[in-house]
Amino acid sequence: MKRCFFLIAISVFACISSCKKTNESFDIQNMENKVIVLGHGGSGDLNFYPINTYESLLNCINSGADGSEWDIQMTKDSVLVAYHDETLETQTTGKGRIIDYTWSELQEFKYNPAPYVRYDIVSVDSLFAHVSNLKSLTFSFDNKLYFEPSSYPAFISAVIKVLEKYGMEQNVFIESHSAGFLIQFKQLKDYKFFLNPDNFDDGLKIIDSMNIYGIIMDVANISAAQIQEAHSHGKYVQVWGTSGSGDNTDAVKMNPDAIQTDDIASLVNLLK
Amino acid sequence: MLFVCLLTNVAFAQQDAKATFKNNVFLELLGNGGYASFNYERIIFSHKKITIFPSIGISTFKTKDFTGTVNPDVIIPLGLRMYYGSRHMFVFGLGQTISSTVYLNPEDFEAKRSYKLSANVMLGYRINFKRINLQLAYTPIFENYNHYINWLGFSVGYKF
Repeated sequence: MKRCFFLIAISVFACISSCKKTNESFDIQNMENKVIVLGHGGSGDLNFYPINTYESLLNCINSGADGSEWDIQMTKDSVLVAYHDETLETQTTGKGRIIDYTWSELQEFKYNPAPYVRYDIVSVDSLFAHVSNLKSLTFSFDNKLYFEPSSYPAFISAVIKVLEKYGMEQNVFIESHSAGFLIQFKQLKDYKFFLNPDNFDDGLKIIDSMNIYGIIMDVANISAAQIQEAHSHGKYVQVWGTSGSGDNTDAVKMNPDAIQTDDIASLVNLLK
Repeated sequence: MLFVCLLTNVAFAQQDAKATFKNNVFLELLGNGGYASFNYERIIFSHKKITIFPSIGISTFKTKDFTGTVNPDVIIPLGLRMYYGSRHMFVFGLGQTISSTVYLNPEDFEAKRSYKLSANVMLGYRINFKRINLQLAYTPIFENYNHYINWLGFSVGYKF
């Protein structure tokens, strides 16, 4: 009886192994006929490391991604940091908004995703200063404007300063939900701006009229036909919200120009 | 030191002959090990409805660091637990958790280890079947003796 179970187990294992999906080949048809693989906040929500930490971002880069999306905010003394939420208490040992602290004060707070571990809040400058192959990477700054519009000029100035310091102007996408913010930014620099609109049709009209580089949307809210339409207007398309091999496969088939994923390994594996 | 004494049964000479299974291995979700831990405990004292177990566990959050190198986090919860009851038991435990976790040092961007000693407490309920036991407990952690974390643990054990 035991031998019978053993043989069945071996057979099932062999079947699963032989049935394992092999890499698909995709006929990528987008603006540059390639898909840029970006992590979501580094290694994504499904990874142990909290998104936007040094560990998450470096783990993403070391996993073979082309780069990563980050959530960018600004401190009281105009230092750009990566942090997703509006307030610190939701993810760290701190309280309040990023904009209410100086960089020096902010370094006291740590991410605490589980007992026994603590991770630092990231400054854009320090990460750029330490990544050896920086110029070969692509980043997408999701600008979290959790402060008054009167602070937009200081924020824009901080972004320009850090991108110019590291020569990363062409390697960083600038995302925002706010068309007003992008217009204000575009008056100073013509970077690769991406609007994150509520719906595709309105978004396409805005980026057409503003001569914006592209559009970024949740993959669940955009179709392959709409991506093709954006491409026919000469616009780049980023999608986000993929969290598994199936999601990534479906997203690649839609021919976006970049995918921000929570499952980097599967997307890298699909496209290599 | 106290632990060594307990483990070697020096402190307690009186044993209850009715204790059939002296050892218990259990898998604990959350609990003193963080997210999940594999633990071993052994009866060192049993009298009437009171049983005392020292326990030791092992746990990790991840086995590779952010560079992709095998460099696991290691968490070792140690505890001394007192149970009251027979089939239905109340548990109270105290212990220490030794942790060695990997993080990025922002000074040089190298992987470094953080070593911490944290206190753990256990207050809960266990039900015993013939060889299997289930336990639900409040397992707060006083991390590094400066940060209190409310935590729960659920475990499934096997006696032998």
